[in-house]
Amino acid sequence: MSVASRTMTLNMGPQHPATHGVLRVVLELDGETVLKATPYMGYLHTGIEKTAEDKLYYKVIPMTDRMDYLSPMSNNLGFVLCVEKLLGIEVPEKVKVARVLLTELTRLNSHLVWLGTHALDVGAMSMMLYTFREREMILDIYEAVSGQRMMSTYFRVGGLAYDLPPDLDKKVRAILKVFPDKIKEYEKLLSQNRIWIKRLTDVGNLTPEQALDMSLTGPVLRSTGIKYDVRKAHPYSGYEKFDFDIPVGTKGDCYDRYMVRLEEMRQSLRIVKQAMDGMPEGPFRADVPGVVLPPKSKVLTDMEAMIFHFKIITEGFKVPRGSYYQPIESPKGELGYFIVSDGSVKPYRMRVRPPSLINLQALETMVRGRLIADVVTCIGSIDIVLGEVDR
Amino acid sequence: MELTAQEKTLLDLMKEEFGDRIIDWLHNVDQFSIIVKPESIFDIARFLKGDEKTGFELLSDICGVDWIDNPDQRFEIVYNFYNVTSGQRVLIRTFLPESGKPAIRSIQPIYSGADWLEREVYDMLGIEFEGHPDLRRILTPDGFEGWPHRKDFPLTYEQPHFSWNKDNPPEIIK
Repeated sequence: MSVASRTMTLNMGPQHPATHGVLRVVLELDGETVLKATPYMGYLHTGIEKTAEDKLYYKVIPMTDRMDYLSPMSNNLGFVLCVEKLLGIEVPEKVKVARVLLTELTRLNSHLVWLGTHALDVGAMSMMLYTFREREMILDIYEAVSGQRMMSTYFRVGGLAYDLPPDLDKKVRAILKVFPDKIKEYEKLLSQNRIWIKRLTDVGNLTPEQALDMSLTGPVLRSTGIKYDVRKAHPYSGYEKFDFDIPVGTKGDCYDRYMVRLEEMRQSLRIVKQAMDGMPEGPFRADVPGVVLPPKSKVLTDMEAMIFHFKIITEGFKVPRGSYYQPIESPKGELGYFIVSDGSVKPYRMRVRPPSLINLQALETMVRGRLIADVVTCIGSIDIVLGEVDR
Repeated sequence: MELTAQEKTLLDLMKEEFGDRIIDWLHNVDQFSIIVKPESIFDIARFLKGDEKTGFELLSDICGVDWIDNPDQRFEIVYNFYNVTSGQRVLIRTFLPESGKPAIRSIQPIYSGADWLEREVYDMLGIEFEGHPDLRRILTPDGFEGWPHRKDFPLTYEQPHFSWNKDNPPEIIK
């Protein structure tokens, strides 16, 4: 006598708190074991790549914020670096250091939200309260520099939107002072926590070959032991001058990814400290007439500057014909902008390589043959933002 | 601009292996690209990943570009390969004509990361990837008509069957 095997199909999401937004995963289950997991996305698709084709270059910057809304500065940086490369603009030293400072704070910000929500998914409720408390300090810095707490839109082609505020130093020092202890506190709460270890160790294992084959990048790739970080491999915005390490894991499971991200937060703090100590004086925009806005004082006194100001705002600036792929290391992985220019004032094609989308491909491999509860852990440990997955 | 030693080695290797299927190479803002014939993409991908001398283990990205003014070479597909060990990046570009159904062989059997990337190119530009195990739309909803990233797809347009004004479809603004 044989017993017929029956599988059940379970629809997880799109409105499920543990899918970090509107991700829908269709699970095929045998009892509680996952046989197959198929993600469906696109619920947040807003056609950012298409819209960018109809916008002047500087008007694309606010849209990039809205992709990975937890790390707006990284998104801005990738775009402006790519356009600067196409234009052949070199930005002042102060701009480079300020960009590094702010993108590293962004990495902290993103990892804090990740840690809070991931711990919440796994069952450690109180982590979220702690991480969001510390994140507030970073959002205060965003507000101080750009006036916005979330969608900062602070970087511009050829520089920054405004000069750095005078009290930035004080605010950053406050972060540098409290954060090392806070990270220790998180470690105390989680790293040796028996439930945390049981839920994360040997869950969602990936081998280095699998990770490369699936085009994974960022902490997910590094947790398998491959030391690929765009900041070291192809330094941009002056990263070669900073001293920091790239943490790697060994097993490529969820616990390794947690450890890698935690260590990355410490390394980010190191970079932030170096950037703040070595912040040079100088202009916050490059002096490129017709492309970068002239200083306001000049606009009011100098005829030519006023004309340029007017022309840039109304007509935009032309970018020479060509294409360029600019990768940066966003908190999620390799964020790439591939811009094709036909010599006009709008990008002919803007392609964003979304690390969240590509890393999410690993979900199926991670969860096959495991329990439903592990699906939640794995989604959390990939660290996706649906705004970026769908764009 | 001159080729660097690394790029020259790669180009020579590829020329030796594929002969006239390599059409041209170019430097775009100091980034190295090789233009190839579309029918050879599968072999090239296998060569780039499998050969010890190349070792491009990471497929970074696949991007489709619509050159609407040039019907013979309307769809450009840019494959972005990266070598994690040596830090070399190479863009492989190929052009598909407008006539017929634009189609190219899928490289998903070689790089499994190409799965969703190819699905996105299919979804946005309507390029068929032959041999892809699961070629469905990825970002747009089921029943969506048209290929949004083609240049002749209007920027502001509501699909009638998703619209509240189904009976009185809005005028298309081009």
